[in-house]
Amino acid sequence: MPTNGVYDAVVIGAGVCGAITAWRLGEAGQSVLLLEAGEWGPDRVELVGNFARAANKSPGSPYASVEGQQHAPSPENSVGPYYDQISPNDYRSTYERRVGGTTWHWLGNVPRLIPSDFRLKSTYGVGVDWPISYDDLEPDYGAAEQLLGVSGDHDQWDGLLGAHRSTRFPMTKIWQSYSDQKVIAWLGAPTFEGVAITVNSTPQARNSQPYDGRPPCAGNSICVPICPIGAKYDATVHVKKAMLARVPVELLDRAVVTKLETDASGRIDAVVYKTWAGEERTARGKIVVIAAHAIESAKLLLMSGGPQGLANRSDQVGRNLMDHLQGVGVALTAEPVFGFRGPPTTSGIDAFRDGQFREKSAAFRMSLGNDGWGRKEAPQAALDGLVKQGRFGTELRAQLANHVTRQFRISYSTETLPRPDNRVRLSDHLDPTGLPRPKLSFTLEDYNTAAFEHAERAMTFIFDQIGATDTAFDPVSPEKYSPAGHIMGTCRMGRGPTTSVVDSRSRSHDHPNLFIVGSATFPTSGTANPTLTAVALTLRAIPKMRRIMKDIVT
Amino acid sequence: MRTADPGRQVDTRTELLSLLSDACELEHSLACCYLYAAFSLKQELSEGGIDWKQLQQIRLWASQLYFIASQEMLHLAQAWNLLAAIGGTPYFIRPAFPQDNDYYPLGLPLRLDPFGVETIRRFAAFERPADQEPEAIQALVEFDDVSDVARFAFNSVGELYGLIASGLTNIPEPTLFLPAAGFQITAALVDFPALVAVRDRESALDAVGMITSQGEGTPTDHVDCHFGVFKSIVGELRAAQGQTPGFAPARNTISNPRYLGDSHAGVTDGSTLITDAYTSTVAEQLDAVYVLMLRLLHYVFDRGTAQTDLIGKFSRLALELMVRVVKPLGEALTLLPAGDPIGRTAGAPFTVQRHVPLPLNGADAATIVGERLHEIGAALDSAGRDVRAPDQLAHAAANFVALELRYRTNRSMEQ
Amino acid sequence: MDAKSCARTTRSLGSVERRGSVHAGTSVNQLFMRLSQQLTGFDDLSSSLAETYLTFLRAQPEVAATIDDLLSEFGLLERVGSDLQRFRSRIVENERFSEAIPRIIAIWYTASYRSANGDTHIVGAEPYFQALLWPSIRAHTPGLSGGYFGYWAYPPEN
Repeated sequence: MPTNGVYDAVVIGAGVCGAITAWRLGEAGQSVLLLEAGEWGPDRVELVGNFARAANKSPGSPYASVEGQQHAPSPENSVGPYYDQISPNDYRSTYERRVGGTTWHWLGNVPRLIPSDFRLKSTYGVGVDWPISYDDLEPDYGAAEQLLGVSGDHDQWDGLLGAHRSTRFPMTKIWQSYSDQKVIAWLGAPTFEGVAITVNSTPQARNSQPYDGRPPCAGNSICVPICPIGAKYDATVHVKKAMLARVPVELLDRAVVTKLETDASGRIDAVVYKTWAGEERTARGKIVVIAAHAIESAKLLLMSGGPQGLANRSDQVGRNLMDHLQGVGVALTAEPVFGFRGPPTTSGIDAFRDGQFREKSAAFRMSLGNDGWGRKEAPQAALDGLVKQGRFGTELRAQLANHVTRQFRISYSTETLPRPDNRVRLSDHLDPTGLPRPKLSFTLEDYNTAAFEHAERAMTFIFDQIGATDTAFDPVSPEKYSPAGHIMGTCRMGRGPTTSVVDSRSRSHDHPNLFIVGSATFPTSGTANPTLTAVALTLRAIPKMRRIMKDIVT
Repeated sequence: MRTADPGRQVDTRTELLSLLSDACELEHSLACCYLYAAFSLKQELSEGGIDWKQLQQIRLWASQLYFIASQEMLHLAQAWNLLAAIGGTPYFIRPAFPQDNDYYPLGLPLRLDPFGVETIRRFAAFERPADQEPEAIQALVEFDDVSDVARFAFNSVGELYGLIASGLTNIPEPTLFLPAAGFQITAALVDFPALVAVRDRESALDAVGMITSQGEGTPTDHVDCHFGVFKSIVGELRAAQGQTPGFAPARNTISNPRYLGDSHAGVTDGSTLITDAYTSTVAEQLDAVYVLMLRLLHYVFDRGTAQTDLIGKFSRLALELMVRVVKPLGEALTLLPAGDPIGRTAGAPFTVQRHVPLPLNGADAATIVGERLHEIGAALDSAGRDVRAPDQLAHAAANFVALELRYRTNRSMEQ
Repeated sequence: MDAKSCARTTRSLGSVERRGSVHAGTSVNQLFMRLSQQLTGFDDLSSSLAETYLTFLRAQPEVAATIDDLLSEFGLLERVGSDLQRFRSRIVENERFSEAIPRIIAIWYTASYRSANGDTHIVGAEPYFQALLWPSIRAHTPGLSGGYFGYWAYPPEN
């Protein structure tokens, strides 16, 4: 219960970082209001039905909502475009506005960043350094792995790329696919341009045994867009825990925060939100935590306060928008590898995540696919091709099997550097509720183009090494890169209020009771899928939130 | 904790060997019971009577049962490692199904039954936490009557391991762990990442702890364990039946099938003879593959035969036989007519009969395995091509033939 | 092709021939089933799904006009006795059926239908979970468990 109508904390966004924040604070005895712009929506099984009936099985396909388009539009669920793109290289990653957030359709890969990612500027002369080191964050990484439920191979990952692990993964690794095992055997232990190539099992927030009341992965093979059985972590886990916390968190979905208001001392005094029913309301909290993912978090700050927005003395709010720009190589193996069984990827190559080359060209992490040619060519396309050639009956079946069971892909995700002009601003175009849409600008750098070439050379070498044929690579030209869905930057953390938005505990330099949690705070992108790091940074922020709250008397 | 003899302590090697053999028998039997129930579940919408949402639920149940069965196999492997460490040999004998209530001190019937509320409740009772009273279990698993629990609850699997742990603790470490008995099978060989190599008291107690925490859970968590999973399945099943009266997730499968005649040694009361001739042949082939798998695993775990190369090959073969032949064959049997009674389908008998361990000599063992693969392959191949064969049987047969071919090719390349 | 597919293929052809020779069933739905068996290479198609698909196809502008013509041509072919060559020339490669044939194959394999304007439509969730594409490549329908934790580490069982 809030005292005098003031909650201990108002948390904006019921995605992974918001839900964990709310749950932790509720368990610590604090009163929390958790506001979510989107809706709870239908049960999981209904969403699986939406997926089954969708012709285009895109990440957003289970979640399309007519009402959602009207009240909490997002790049995946809006009438017409939601982003207002103003540069030639569109920013392509998207997100979900709903309870549980984008973790509904994340893949669940959770490698940690590596020590050099935190010192990019001092080691390689590019980007910036983080205000913290890997060692500072290491205990929080371990705690985050416990919370999400991560399956991994401790012995393989402890010390890899200089990243020590003080705790074991809570579960043994997700078994590597048959395809991985064949490729590992064919590959041997080669060296490419002086780099020893080894295949590692990928740590995943996916159960390899019953964990936290959720079942082990049963290989439904559609982690993206939805795990039908909840074996993959998603933030509804912690939303539900939050609602049952020692002091139960009040969840209010369908509540779109439109602005924050400050008092004379610069504290955030009010959170103004509009319900889907059209009612405008205000909530007050001793602290306010923005956890609305990188684009909406920045947009909310820019919509608040004066023309410069809030928390923006540094003029960094909305800037340094990042992603992991992706490419893929596909090939046919000599023997079947039988994809489309199990998680879409269970192994990767981490050898290119660090090296002196990062002075000039982006690091990247490679994933071995377990899903044929992935997005490059669906098996339906192979079927169409054969039917067009007049194949039918048992001959069609045999040729289809012969082709698709030998499909193999490697994908890679390159780091992006923070650039001030890669940014989120407010568009003059409004969404159906009358709020500005995000205006995005994004420039593809030579740093990434060079990495695409590097990765293509490495993939060519690997395909050759394993005796694969019929190779093809994307992007065919650099600007055709794929997005990773890893939205980072826009509220970077740093040491000072003139160069960064938040401190290393995710607190605003400008407003003492304002926290911004999530991947928005990353100063650089590294090559790790961002969610685990976002959660670790959130866990690092929570003790500070509690200290601040305690100091405030209402 | 309710026990027959609460203060009982184990302090001799002989007793410990005997209890670990009990544990082997029990883990092995439980794995068969769980597999049998999983085999009986419908797999496709075309089988009728279920919609796609129910199929989602059924496939989840199947995956949970298979997972728990695989952990029972892990526990069997773990018990074999424990036996090896203290001077025993891998123990794989067990009586035919159904086993009497009083065969084990558990007071629980070990039976092969299709999936259903009663079956899963019994599974929950097998794995009930030793620290919970019958009344609590009754409420948790929705038993109709506390006496059902009391009948089951006299002893539990957890309690058996409690006795084993007492033996491991009481017998002096240097006496118990024999210097020459160090050969242990590790995770890399058998696809069980949690398998503990037993070298001393600490690792032995770790091994026992792993088994009990997976089965009954820990004092603070009775959710993420066999007991907890069975409990949740009972709740889900009853809810689904409440929503759709007559909901039948399982095929119309008989209990405790056998293909051997009455006069055969080892046939127990309460089993049902498969009278359909074709189905009977298939059941016999399933048992043949199952026994071959056991012989291979026995060889792998027998500390006297530490030939890494060969045991790696045997282990891989045994695992592939399990997942690519026994599983689809077991499923196929629940689609094939049992004969009498009309309208019911059969299931996997899991008969351990006339079992002869493979000879210690590696070359001889490999020869016998090849011979057996060839014999079974011929029979399965013809059964798989029969027009009556369900897809699962055709697949199992084709997989077996492919495994046999691979084995033969590798052998001839080595020679 | 591996041993498994060979075994199944032999069986498939065998049973289709048997059915053809005894003229089992002449209802339109059964005719559609047998035509679909020949086109897909699967001999164990679901009859309720056949009904769903036939009803669906009859309502689509691209095939509504030709589907009955196609079925009667196939029926005629069955009565005079067909082989693969005749089936190919009179059904699969027949210009009159060039809109219908790929769509019948696609609907069974993917539960989807592509209109002339390029829009694709999934017939329904039940059909989606029975699409033939996935067993053809020895996988399982995405969204439906392929068995149990870790099955993907082994070669397929199906």
